[in-house]
Amino acid sequence: MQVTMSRPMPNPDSFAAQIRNLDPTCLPAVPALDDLRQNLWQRALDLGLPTRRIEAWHYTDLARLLDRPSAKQPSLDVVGPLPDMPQIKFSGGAIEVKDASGLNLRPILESPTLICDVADHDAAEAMLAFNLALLAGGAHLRVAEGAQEELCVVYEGDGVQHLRHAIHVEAGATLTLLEIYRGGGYGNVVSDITIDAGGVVNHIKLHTSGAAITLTRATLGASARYVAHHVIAGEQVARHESRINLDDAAAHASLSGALLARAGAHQDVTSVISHNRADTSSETQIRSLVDATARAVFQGKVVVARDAQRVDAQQQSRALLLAENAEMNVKPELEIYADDVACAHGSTVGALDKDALFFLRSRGIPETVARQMLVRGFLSDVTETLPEGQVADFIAAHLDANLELILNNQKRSV
Amino acid sequence: MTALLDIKNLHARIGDKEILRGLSLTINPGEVHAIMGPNGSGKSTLSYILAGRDGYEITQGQVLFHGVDLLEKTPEERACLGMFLAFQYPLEIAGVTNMTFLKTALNALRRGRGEDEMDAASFLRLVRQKSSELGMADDMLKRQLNVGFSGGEKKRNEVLQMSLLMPTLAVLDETDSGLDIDALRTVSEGVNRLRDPARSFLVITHYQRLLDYITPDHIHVMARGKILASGGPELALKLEAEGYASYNEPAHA
Repeated sequence: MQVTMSRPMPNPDSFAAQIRNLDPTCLPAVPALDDLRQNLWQRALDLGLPTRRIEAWHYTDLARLLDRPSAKQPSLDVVGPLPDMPQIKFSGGAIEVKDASGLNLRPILESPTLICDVADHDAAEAMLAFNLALLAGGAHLRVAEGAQEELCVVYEGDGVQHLRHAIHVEAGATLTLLEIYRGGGYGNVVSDITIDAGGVVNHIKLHTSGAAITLTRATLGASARYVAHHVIAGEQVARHESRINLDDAAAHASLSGALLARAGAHQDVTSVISHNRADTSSETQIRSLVDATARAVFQGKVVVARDAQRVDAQQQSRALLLAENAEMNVKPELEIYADDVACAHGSTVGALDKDALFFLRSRGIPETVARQMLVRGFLSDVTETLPEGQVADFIAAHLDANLELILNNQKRSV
Repeated sequence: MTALLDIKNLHARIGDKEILRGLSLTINPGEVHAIMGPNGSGKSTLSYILAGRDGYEITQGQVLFHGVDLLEKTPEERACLGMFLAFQYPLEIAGVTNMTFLKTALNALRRGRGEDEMDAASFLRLVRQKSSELGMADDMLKRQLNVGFSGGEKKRNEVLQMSLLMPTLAVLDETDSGLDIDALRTVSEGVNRLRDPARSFLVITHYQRLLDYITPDHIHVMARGKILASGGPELALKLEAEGYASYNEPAHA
């Protein structure tokens, strides 16, 4: 007897269906890439969207999460004007560049070799295969030795977009990269960042709404620094993954995450930090505030290579669950092959401390204000680390607006 | 004279366990009362019930504070009415600086009492003055609330809160526990500075030691959830000499 297995058809309004209905032939033609895209498209369809059966996606069953009706207006967009800096905006098919004439910036599709070089490698993973097969554009940015640049990249609109950036920060240069994921659409965004000796990248990802699946791969040279701030606040589907390679002495990676998961949200921060050389260091701080029916995920892996002595790697995740049916999944992993290292990880999950609340109230502070103080205090380790300036103010305004929504929701349910 | 605090026949339980079993106590304005008693007598429970902590079921009795039914009020309303509890174990609150906390509390109280908020400069002047009287280093104001404070620092910080919030009744729950002799003296001096014909104190302690520094007008012995004896300062010395044995529960209760 022959049994035919067939996958159920995705919900026609869902992102999953929209992705399946795409076809690389609809994309702008790039002769050097057309065959590659067709091959990768077949490959991607064979692999399918990741499900919980794939370990790295165990807590974020993307096939299921993206198989929901997608047409939904976000209840809260970014707050206030965007910071004043060079800007690229991706909205559906349209790409809009503003004030960027001072940057060494080109469309990535003009450099097909960048894509061909990684195609074999990236064909192994479904999301990377989808990304290359359906690649609609992206930035190819070079920050020259010693230069200091800023760039704001905005993803918006209700459509489905697959984008890829290649960024090279040369020796001693500094780049502040602010990415804003807004609107009701779906984005699959891959960024490859190379930081030469002494270079610094401050990478801020603000995700307010819609669905975004991002992967940032950063490779660091001697004394280079990669400082990432993830601010995911809202009711979105989010998977923000970082794979960081510390390839030379005194390279340092810092990853902080503020996850404010409002009702219905699914927010996943995943990181793999590889200490490939001695005397490298990393610090990961995740704070999650999870409301009713929302779920937050943190998977943090630290790998210390053989002979990578004197590595210092610290990782901490703390979660505050605001309701019975809020969920936090934490998976810390240490893989250490050297013997002289200082590596630590810690994880806590709890509710708002009733005794602390009583202590504040007994001093005359109204309950709602007391809750606010405790929650802000809880988040302060990851919300007060951005250097003062317009980006920090912009992020703070967004966090405040979300906190207010979450705490008001709490007040109703108390 | 209207009593400041009037507790009548108070019965309270946690779950199935009866902790207070008919406690009565009257405190008039300006008086300092001390409650002494063995561990488990219900002293701390009494202080928490007065401040409004959750988790206690009042099965009988009444508490009037300034003539108002105290048990109907939220903790913050009680604070606005003039109730203050100096905690035996002050809470550590990460991410909130002591200064922010003190300012939020003071202004919340002022609003609750229908007064204007204090401006930043006046507040700073006031808090600096009060904290230096208590021998507190300036950096204790900038640090996160009670985080990493020593036992003595936490208790000084409680007295600092008291001297800013100016309650009409301050309940001191084992304020002497964990204090060395110097800290005990500073903390007691801080309390004594606040003694006033309009302000009363309820000092809860296990040992007579604290009462050498804060002299009470009345002493009560509490055991098995009620007050078993009351008297003047001489009662403390008698207890110190004889212990609580005569007040403890008989072996076959």
